[in-house]
Amino acid sequence: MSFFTLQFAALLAAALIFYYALPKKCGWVVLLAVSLAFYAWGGVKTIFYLLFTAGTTYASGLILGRFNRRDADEGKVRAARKKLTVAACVLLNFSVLFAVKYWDQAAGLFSLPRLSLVLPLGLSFYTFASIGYVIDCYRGKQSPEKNPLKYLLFVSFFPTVVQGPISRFGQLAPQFTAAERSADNVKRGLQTAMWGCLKKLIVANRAAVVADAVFANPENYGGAFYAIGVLFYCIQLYCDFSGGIDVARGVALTFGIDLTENFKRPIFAVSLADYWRRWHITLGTWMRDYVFYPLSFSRPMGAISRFARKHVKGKAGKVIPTAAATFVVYLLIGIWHGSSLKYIFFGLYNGAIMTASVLLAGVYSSTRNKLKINEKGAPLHFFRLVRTMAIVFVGRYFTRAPRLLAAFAMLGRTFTHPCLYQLTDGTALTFGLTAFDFAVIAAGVAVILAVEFFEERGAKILDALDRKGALVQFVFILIPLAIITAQAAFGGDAIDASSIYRQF
Amino acid sequence: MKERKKLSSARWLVIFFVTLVLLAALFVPVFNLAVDPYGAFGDRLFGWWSYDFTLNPRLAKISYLKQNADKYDSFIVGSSGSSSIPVADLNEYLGANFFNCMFYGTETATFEQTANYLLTTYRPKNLVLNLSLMTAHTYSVDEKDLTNSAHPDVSGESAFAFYLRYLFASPADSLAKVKYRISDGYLQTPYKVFNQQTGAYDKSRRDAEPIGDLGDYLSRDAYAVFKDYPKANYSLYHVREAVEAVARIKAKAEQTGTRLFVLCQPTYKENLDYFSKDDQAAFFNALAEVTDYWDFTLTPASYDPRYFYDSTHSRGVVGKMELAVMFGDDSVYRPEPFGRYVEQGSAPGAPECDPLPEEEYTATVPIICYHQIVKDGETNASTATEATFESHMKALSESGFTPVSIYDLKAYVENGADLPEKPVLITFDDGYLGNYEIAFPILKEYGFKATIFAIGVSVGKDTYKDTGKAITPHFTLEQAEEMKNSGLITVASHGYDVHEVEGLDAEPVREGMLARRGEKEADYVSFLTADAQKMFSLLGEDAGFVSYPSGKYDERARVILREAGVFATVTTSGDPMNKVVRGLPQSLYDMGRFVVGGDTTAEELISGIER
Repeated sequence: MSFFTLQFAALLAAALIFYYALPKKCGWVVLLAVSLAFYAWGGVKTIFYLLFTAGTTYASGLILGRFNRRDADEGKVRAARKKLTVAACVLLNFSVLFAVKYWDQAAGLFSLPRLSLVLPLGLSFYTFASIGYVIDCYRGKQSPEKNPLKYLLFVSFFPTVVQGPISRFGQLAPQFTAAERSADNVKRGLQTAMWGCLKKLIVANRAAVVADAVFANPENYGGAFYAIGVLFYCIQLYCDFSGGIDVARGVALTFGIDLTENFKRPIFAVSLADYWRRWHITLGTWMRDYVFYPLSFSRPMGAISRFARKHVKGKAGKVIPTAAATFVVYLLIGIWHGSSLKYIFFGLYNGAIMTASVLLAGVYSSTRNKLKINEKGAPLHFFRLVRTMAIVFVGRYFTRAPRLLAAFAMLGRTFTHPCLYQLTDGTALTFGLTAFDFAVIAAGVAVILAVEFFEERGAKILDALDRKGALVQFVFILIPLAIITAQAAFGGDAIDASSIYRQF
Repeated sequence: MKERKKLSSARWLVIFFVTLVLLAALFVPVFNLAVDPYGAFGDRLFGWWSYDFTLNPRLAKISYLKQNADKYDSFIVGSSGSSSIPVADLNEYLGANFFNCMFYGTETATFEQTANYLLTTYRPKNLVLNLSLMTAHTYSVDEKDLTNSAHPDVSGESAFAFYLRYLFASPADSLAKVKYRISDGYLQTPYKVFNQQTGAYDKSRRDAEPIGDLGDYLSRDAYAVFKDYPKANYSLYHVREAVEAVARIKAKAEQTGTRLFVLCQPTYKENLDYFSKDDQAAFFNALAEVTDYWDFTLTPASYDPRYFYDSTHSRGVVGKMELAVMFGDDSVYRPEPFGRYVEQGSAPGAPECDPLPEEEYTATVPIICYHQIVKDGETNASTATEATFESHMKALSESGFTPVSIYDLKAYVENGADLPEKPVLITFDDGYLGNYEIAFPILKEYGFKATIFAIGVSVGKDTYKDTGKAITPHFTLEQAEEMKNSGLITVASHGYDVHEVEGLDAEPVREGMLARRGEKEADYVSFLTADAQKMFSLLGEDAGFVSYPSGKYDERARVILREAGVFATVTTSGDPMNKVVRGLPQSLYDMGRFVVGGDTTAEELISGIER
């Protein structure tokens, strides 16, 4: 079920009524029931994948917990058994992920039979969250959850199950039973969710039309429109994804549950690394905690490290292991996005730039010193902003183009055959958007940028709104609600007057 | 310390939920009520009935009549085939004001409800009930969907349920109407197929469509259906119910003092074959038990697809023939025997009629196009010498051609008048003085009719308008009058001021009768209408014959000209062997011409127009 449907609104309303009407100790049961209903709506069959992941990780957690307790009790470390448990669990779940999401693509390369499995909703999100829990149990950082239903709620929690944020058990699960129930939270939750809805319904859905049109028939357009297509895709992607996360966080907050932040104004990133700390944050931190650190401190990496220090002089030798681990992480992030070659390249592209910037950090800093560039000056900051945007922008050709080679071709033609005349000959109005729609997108983007600009400077906009008078607050209820209701009302297909009259 | 809040979160939530509920509950009905795409609430905001009729004619037409009852005193009731009965002609014959209340579908039960409503509510002077065999096939369909629901005053449905359904219809339908309204233009489109004034289909485009040669007609996508007409068998299950409904309508009409005309509409022959002869006979005999009626089901027109615009609907020209037969108007052509009058109590049986041979109602008329004629000297693609012209006329005469005027063709297509054995139309574009000084005497000598297309702004001029730049001289209005008085020459229209020249006229230059680049449609329509009107005031009715300047025009120009009163047009290209069809005035539109240059020999001319 999508957040942006009337059914979801109805489900949420019912959930809130039960949640607040029933005693506090029943809260988590309501959330579990709603989560399962929400998930089952998309297809009853795929819920077995979710139950499988929940079951195996729940059991692994219990086993690891027992080993940890015995370690403590008997002073005898069962490292091998624990490793075996965690490896088996990880392998099992990633095998499912691979089979469902990547097998058909890989099978195509090696002409093996395809499985054509239906992709369960949110598979990579809940798999990552569950695996994170198992590893935390392995590390002894997390004591295992004994109640299987409470654990199932963590895996299937409806605001997060479709598109994240990828939650940590330790952060999320305790809130199921100890959430602060307050009108303040419900209000903030609704405000956040409305903001997300506006981003998605007003801006993302319109921007998508342009991106889809350009990438569906690239042969119809010159390079300038490829760039415009990518730009609208960037707008769409951010407004869609961050809008969805806002709705998720807002919805969770109406139940008093605070989800981890997933976006932190990525437009203001000053480097690619900074960008990945602001974009899809929970994926980045997951990778950091469960891939980057273990990899950096692993035995093979230790060997590489020693080798590098010995053979590469200076600072570079020291950072080579970090660089290598970084590269692997970004390659994995690329693969996480999808199975086709273009995503692998997207991972390589990010990995290569990140690795290069780690390796060249020293060179940059000495160059800046030589050029006497003020480290804290606005020009350098601006240059970094633009540079980061350009890098991300180019990367988006690869995630949006239909195939890897098409991405290269389109990127090339952006510069070699821009066909600038198309910008003024009305081509823009052939995508299915009117001039009014473009104005709406522009206004929407301007509002979002303004809001994020002030937030970036530390303003708390919703807190400021709280201090306004009742009328102002009412306006900020009425306008978003009116827009959302109108969108919901007009979402259906009209009876096309042109099609009524046929052969009469 | 925490700042004092002006609005507590609890209150905020109350406001939020009240707003949400009110928006959800009120937004849809208020919007639907205002925009009213189905005309259920009287369409007070837009009054765009041609759109509302299209979405649901059964409903919207009744709503429309509630507001415009005083404009009408007579009605047509029937299915979509009734649209071909020309309201203007009917008004003239009966001295009445008709509204065509026809709708989609052929359910006699709904005809009866509609007729009952109209008779009781308005006590009209006349009621035309237009039937077809299909009305005995589908007697009633109980439809409650938005596009087929009848008005509750007609159907007797609970008004509450009815209005609730339209109040809470998807607002997307209302939004669609707003969007169409914003982007709406001059030409008729599939979302506004009705003429608001008459209630009939808006045939402004259909009636301006050039139709001539049958093969060419069938090659168009819209008429492909006639090449491979779908086969089917329909049984008439409801003859009894349908006829009883007619009897009740008749009784009601007698009560209200309304004159009732019962008609059976023209049917394409292959469509008629859907019904067995026995079923046909049963229907017509049963109908004759209850009423007198006119039966136009099968006429010679039923065999020619050019009289039909789709597989089941005849053109307005056929409706015109029906009325002419009914009211004894012999000035209107119709292929005989055209229909039959059936008296109550007789047993007419199934209709019988043979097709007419095509040559009895079509003629091939070549058209020749000259421009300038000079004494002697230099010639080019648009200039011929006197000697050449004379040789052409001689050759036409010797080959047995008889030059005719556009009025001869008009009389042929409209009144069924005869044409000579080998008709030909001689035309001249631009209205040069040479036409008067050189061509006219030769034409007189031969007694040949010809048409000269004058450019309004250039009449009597030898300089380009407002510039003083010398151009080939043009004859004056007096000279035009003199030629006209000879009874041979028609001075027709080449447009008043639609020959713009790059460099002499302001940019962007208008190409022929097309819109200027970036010109607003409303401006263009009024410009072209005014241009045609100027020609009418200059030349009188002869301006109803137009030669398209530079051959540049489009469908929109054609429709605008027709609306302005233009009845015939020629182009600068196309097949010069024009097929004109009796009963089809459209065959005078976009006629092709054989363009004669300075070096065209008499032999070339004759072989070009004698195929």
